[in-house]
Amino acid sequence: MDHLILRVTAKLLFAPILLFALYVQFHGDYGPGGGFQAGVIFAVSFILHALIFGLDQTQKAMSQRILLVLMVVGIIFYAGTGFATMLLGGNLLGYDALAPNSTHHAGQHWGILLVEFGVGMTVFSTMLTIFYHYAGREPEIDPEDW
Amino acid sequence: MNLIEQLPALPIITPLLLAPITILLPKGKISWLYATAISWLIFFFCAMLLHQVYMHGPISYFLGNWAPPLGIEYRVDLANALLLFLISAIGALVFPYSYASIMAEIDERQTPFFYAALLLCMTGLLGVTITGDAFNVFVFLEISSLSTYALVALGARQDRRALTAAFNYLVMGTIGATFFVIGLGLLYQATGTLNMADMQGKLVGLDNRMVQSGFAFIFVGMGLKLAMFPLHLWLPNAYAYAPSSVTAFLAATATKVALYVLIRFFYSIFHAANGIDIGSLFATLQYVVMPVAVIGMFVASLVAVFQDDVKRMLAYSSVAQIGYMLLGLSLGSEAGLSATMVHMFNHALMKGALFMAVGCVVFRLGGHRISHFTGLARRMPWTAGAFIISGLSLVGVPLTVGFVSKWMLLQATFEVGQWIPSFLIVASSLIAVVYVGRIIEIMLRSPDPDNPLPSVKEAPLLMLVPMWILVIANVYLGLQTDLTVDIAKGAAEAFDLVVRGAR
Amino acid sequence: MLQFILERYNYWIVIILMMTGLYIVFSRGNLVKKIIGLNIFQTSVFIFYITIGKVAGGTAPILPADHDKGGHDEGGHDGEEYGEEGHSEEGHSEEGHSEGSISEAGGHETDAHETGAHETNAHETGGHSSPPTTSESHTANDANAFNLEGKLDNSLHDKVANVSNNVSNSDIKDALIDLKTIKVPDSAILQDPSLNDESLHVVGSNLSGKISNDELTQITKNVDKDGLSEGSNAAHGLAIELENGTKALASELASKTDPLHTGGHTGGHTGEQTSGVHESSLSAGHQTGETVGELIYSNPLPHVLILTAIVVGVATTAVGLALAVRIREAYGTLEEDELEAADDIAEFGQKGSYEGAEDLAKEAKAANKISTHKPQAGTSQTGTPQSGSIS
Repeated sequence: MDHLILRVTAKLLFAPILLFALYVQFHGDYGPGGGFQAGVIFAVSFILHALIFGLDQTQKAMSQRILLVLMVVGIIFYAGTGFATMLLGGNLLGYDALAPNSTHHAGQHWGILLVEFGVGMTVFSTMLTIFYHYAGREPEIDPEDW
Repeated sequence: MNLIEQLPALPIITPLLLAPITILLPKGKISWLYATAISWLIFFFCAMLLHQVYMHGPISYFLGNWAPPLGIEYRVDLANALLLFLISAIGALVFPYSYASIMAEIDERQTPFFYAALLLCMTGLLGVTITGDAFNVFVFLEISSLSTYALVALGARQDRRALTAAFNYLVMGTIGATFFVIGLGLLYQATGTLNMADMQGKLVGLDNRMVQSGFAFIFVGMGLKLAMFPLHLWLPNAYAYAPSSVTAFLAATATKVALYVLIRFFYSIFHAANGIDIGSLFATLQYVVMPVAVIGMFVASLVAVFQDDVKRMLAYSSVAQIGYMLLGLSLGSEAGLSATMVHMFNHALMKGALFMAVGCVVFRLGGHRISHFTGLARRMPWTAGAFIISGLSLVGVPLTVGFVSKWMLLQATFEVGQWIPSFLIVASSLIAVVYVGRIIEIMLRSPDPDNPLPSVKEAPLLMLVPMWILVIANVYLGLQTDLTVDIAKGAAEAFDLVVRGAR
Repeated sequence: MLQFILERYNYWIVIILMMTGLYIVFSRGNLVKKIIGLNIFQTSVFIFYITIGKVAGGTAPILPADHDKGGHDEGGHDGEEYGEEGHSEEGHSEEGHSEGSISEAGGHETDAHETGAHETNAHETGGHSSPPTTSESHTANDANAFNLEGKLDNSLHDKVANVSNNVSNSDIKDALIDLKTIKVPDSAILQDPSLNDESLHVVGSNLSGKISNDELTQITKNVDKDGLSEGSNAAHGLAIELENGTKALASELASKTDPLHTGGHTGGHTGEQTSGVHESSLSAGHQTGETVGELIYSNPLPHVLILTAIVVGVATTAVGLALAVRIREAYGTLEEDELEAADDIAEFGQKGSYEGAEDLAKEAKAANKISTHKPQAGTSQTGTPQSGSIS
């Protein structure tokens, strides 16, 4: 498995894909994009890495445990933003409560930014987890095993 | 934060926020304690919600302060407050129960995932119930369904058929949900709104094929989800092979929620939008729902008689009981509707207790075939007692809740002059006597002196207490009929209340 | 008949996909093929929702700031709009409608004042529509310039007066931005004839007195540039429309304002004009009500719904495939008949065992029971948090 061209190309692509994912993530509140798309793109870079360098190498860089934590933290970002607005005196997901004195609804902006960030995190880790689990399974199992 | 003001959001946001953390906790006791605490917290919120609604009338909560119909609305009236209370109560009982049971039935490493999935399932069911937004129903339904598929599949360690059962459930459930979405799309196209109350208002005077096909899609989709008789094929296997506590939870809640959605659409939206479609709605009720309900009652009960597997038998009995609920709903009267509400509540109590008893047997004897129940009255007297009492309640013996709901159903059928269904209710109850009696007979059978069965310990207290709470509720609410009947009547009125409010 | 079928091609695609998907689910024994069928079935729903999303003549439900946020009335109005659009079957017969309205409205083009009204409304359309492409904006401009006459508004007049009085670029830009924020006016305002009359006269005289044709085009070009440099598509569309509108206006003015001025602003004349404007605007307003929908508008809500449904679909597929993998591991096959056969063997092994033959039952159970071969729970569970997070 020593494909020089593949490895060099993958290394070149890896960082731009991540960057693009971040662009899609943070541009999501103005243009097309958002957490879901960004999360998938982010995961794609790791999947590319796994395809070229092997699953083991990728799992060294991004272990399953980290993904699990990211998954949870993402949801906490998402639900927590909604909950924080409740604590601040608004309704659930009433983002205006995040910036009560703003005249141009800055709270909405902050709220959606945080929520999308959480979504992106969760989608990224979930996609990669799904990939890990499908790719990481034994292709054939021993008859003894089942 | 004003607790009372934010109350409708709390049963949803609390588990959504806290459930994922469960999977990071160490396996076994800690994650169990954590999940149980959450379930009790939700129960507390739901009980407060029911109290608030009972005292002060329906509550409307706007997500993100966006007023409906543009924003999403959580709307709690007596009908869904009752169901919320029921779901959270069953949840609060199933979580303590599941500790020992789950340790025995699934891999210990999976327990945090199990609790997280069960909490999410509960969140989904609560969300379906509480929301006033039609598309939200779909989203929450899928949250609960997806976690249900995973939960059912966890039974694979006991019996690999859980996997195929979960797969079938997934296929049927997804088709059902997709049908529901198609129906919603048609209604959205016709009305331009997704808010239920608003949709009802917009549907007034609209009676075209688009609305009617939307109605049909929703009916079939929800029929799949609630295991209406010919569409019930996923249910027996899913219930039979899922882990015991999952079965207890699902049997008590999942189909009820789908039924609730159907009632919501039938009565609060289509029926209430008077003039539209009223002819075809009643035609559907009379010529589709009622026969389906009656046939389901009979066929499923008969199939239940011939099952060797107690869990499967109870699952078929659930299909039959759904027939009772659909019958009440198909009468199109307030009495029928309140009978359905009461039966939804009561059936959850008895099926919950029955499946919990089966879970105790599985825990001690390792299986749920009829043979495992031989002489159970002597070997595990508390479990057997719980099974017998709730089994009698399932049959509809006086002094139990089963009697109350069947009596109400009979009254409702008399009231509209439907003599044939009322006769059939009694007849199918007699079949229930057969299948429940069969198990009770085996349990009470005196031990064979030549070949004595090895004695087993009674199930642990943590499993017995939740089960007996349900059993006592079965009897207590069978004696104190006013409480449930009052609330259910109010709930049935709540469906009509939406009408009056909108007009 | 053929046209009827062809016009609804998207619905046919939906139906074909739906039936194909369902057929695959029901007829194929292979579990993975079932999942593929399920996905095709769900795809049909996505296309169906995209179809719903395309509406003719809609506007974004942006609520003006002075309005109570999401008040019941406003929301209800929006809903009705959607409803109408939904019924109009994407406005397939729009072209006929718009032609009719043009020819009819052509009759109204009798005085300069009214043209002014047209022109301002062209602006307003630009402000409210989602950024139109150039070709679209052209047709939209044509149709709406005549159509939207009924939507005159007090504030609008002020803005137009502003535009005409202050010819400096920056002011026009401001005014344009203001124009964008003007809410769809209530046609009831039209009932006040004096309002129309006065402001129209102001506009007309000011325009004819101060701005020449060349100046106008210069201004609009500048505005155009500014709009482009801002990078705002909406401003661009506005600028184009302003250019079109003002050109038309300028030529109209050149030909028609002279007689007005020479005739003098006598009371009788004004009265005549007023009534004329009033009548024609009323009829035009009526027309507007009939011909909703010359603009193709993409309703964002169904797209959000699709996104949610897609996420749910992805999660379902992931769970389904995970189950298929586990079934493959447990049974060694994915064919439904073989699975059933395997289960039947296990079942028959157990038959008759409940009369106490525990060992037989145990044996059968051992066949059914799968080992604890590395149970990867993550795969099947991951779908759920994900769907929760998006919704």
